[in-house]
Amino acid sequence: MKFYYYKFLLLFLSIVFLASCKKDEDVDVYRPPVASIRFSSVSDFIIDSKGKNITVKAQISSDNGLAQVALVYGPWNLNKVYTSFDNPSKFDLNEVVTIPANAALQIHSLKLEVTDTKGNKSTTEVKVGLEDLNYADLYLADVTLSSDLTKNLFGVPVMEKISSHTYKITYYAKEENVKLKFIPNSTSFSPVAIGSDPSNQAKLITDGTKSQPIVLSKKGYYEITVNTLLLTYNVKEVPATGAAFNQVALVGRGFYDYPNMNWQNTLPNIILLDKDSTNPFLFTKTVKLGIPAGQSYNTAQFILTTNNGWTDFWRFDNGTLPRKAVFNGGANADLPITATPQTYRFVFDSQTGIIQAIKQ
Amino acid sequence: MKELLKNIFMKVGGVFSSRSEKADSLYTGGNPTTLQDYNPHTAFNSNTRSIACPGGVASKSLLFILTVCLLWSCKKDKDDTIAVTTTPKVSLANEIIITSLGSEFFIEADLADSAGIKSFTLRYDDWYLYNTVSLENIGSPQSYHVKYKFRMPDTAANKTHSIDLIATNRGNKETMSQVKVMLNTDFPKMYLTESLDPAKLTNDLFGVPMLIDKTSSYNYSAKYYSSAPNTKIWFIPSKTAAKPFAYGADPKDNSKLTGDSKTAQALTLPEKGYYSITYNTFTLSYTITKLANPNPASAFAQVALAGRGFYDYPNMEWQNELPNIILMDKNPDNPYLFTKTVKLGLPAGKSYTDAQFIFTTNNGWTNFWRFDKGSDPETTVFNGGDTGNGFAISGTPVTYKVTFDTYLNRAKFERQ
Repeated sequence: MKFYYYKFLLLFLSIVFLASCKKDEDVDVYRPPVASIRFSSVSDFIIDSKGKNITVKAQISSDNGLAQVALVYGPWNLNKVYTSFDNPSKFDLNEVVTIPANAALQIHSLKLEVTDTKGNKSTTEVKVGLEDLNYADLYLADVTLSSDLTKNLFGVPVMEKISSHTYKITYYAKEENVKLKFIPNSTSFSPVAIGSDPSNQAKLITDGTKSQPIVLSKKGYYEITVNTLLLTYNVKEVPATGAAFNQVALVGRGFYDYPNMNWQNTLPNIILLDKDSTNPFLFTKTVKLGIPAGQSYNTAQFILTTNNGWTDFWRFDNGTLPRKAVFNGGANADLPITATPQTYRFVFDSQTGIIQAIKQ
Repeated sequence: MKELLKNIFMKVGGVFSSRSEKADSLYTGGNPTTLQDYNPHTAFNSNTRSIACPGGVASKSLLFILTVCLLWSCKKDKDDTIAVTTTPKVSLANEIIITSLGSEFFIEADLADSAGIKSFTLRYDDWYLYNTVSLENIGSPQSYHVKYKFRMPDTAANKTHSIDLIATNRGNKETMSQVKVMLNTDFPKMYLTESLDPAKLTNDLFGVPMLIDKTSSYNYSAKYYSSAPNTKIWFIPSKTAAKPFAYGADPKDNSKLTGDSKTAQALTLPEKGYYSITYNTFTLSYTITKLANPNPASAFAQVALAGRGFYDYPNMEWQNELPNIILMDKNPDNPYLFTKTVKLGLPAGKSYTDAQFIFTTNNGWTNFWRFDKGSDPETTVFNGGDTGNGFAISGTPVTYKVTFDTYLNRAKFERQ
């Protein structure tokens, strides 16, 4: 009897064992748990400004009947809970939510958490983007000290706004590992300086006290695009296009060491810049701006020429607040000077129109 | 022994009844699945459970060995869940991703949990995406960077696609974050159409669908003449196809548009007359405004086709007066609208191979319309532009209904 018991047990255990080993092949593990709660017509992405009311909409249906619908978002102290439903199989959420005046400058993910009568849970999200991040201007800060933001007569480079929340610039990295942040206020890294998140390099954040610079690893030209709504950016190396001019010169007046220079367009009364040894589009020169002895004007006025008379030149996007050079157009720079000369190092990129005059 | 059997039954039953446990167990067998390989077929078909059990001796010892084997094989099914108080933290690199059909994109996120992250799951039922990647074979780390490559399906609908990223810790506590993936809808051009039937979109020489204005990024503005009450219109960014992009009223909320051709409902222009329609393909807001009738006194008295290649006008060859121009019929309700049915074809005895034409006001060469582009016109240009040309013709004429709206500067040749 004992023998038969063992035989039976052996057979049984073998079946159990084989079954236990077989199951890995047969069970379809790709299939997700059946969704008994379904969302449709969700306000997936809402864009509005801080302080404004938005309406969060969603149609929720449940096979088992709805037990709870909650719209929650901790950072905004949002916790709207519904537990009673006229029709437990279907609920239309139509919730007015105020974007707090102090909402962080980022995309906010409001969670819509639904529980049915059997305890099944399902969640979707409503993303809220901020119109506040749609800046009129965005600047490319290629300096790290805030004091350096204002050391340059032309300020840090201004990006071109190509559409809502979207900015683009072609930029020359003069050396390896140039560090960049994107700032809406050209003179400050505070409160907003867009850079990468220290805990997630792939993510952009706006908080100037936390963001880390984006690094251009190589020397050369880059095309940089930033989207401040989605907080994404794209950096790609690009070749310089066209042929570089042989010469670039400063033409005008108010250069302390050139007292006779007063809007002539030929040597010796223009200041030839030095062509960079590796980038033929890049020109530099250190000059003093100041009222030369014997002159009575009190502004420096200048443009850049190709030392070709008045053919092929650059003026500026704005005469008194110049930010970039404009080829064969723009306005003459017109900047106050005194009898005390101030030394500036001019760096002009004839490929991009980016010009700097850095106080020495 | 009976107790042992009972335990075994319960355990085996438990394995079969629980999908999630099953999926987990596959990753607990020390299978060296690389984490970079996210192909679910590789991940889930891994044959980690081939267990070589000795056999052949029907005895107590065999029973013992079998029992050990069975227990061992089932051990991996055992839930190694621990009691934890934390929930995983999911920090997405991008909450919103805008891409295009067929393009690759990455979902990137940082996962963190002091209790250890057992796995993460990506789920989007519309794309049959359900993939759990176990991190147990790298020791359920406290932090993990997810970088998961997708290719936007060529057939993806033009709507927001919400992909769930769910992190699960060793206590089986979950946190879900959602990435919203959208198609880039900043189209370079946009057209107005009264039909989404692809045959109607390609049954014209030019002019159907009708080009509208792009006023800025994502913003479009149309003016259109509703020739009868309740004219139905849609907007499409392609001249020849209405899929996957067609903008019309969202059936779930007709105060908004949808750009999904599967669901977009026609917008209705309730009355006869000119309308202005503006909309934004990002926010999906739109406006429809009835315009005042334009001053009839400013409409030209006559509009004519001048050129060559009109089958029934063999002598017509770039003269600018009757009888060698084709006067069009003025619409009785709209003095700016002119129509005429003509045949394009090579008249007998002629040897040229294309039809060429402009519109005139039957006033010599004063006050006329050419086109924005001669061979593939989209708009007419008053007193400027390129001559319409290069329209291939043969001895077999093709009949077109020509409609020219001199107020909108839009003309169309519809094959009859």
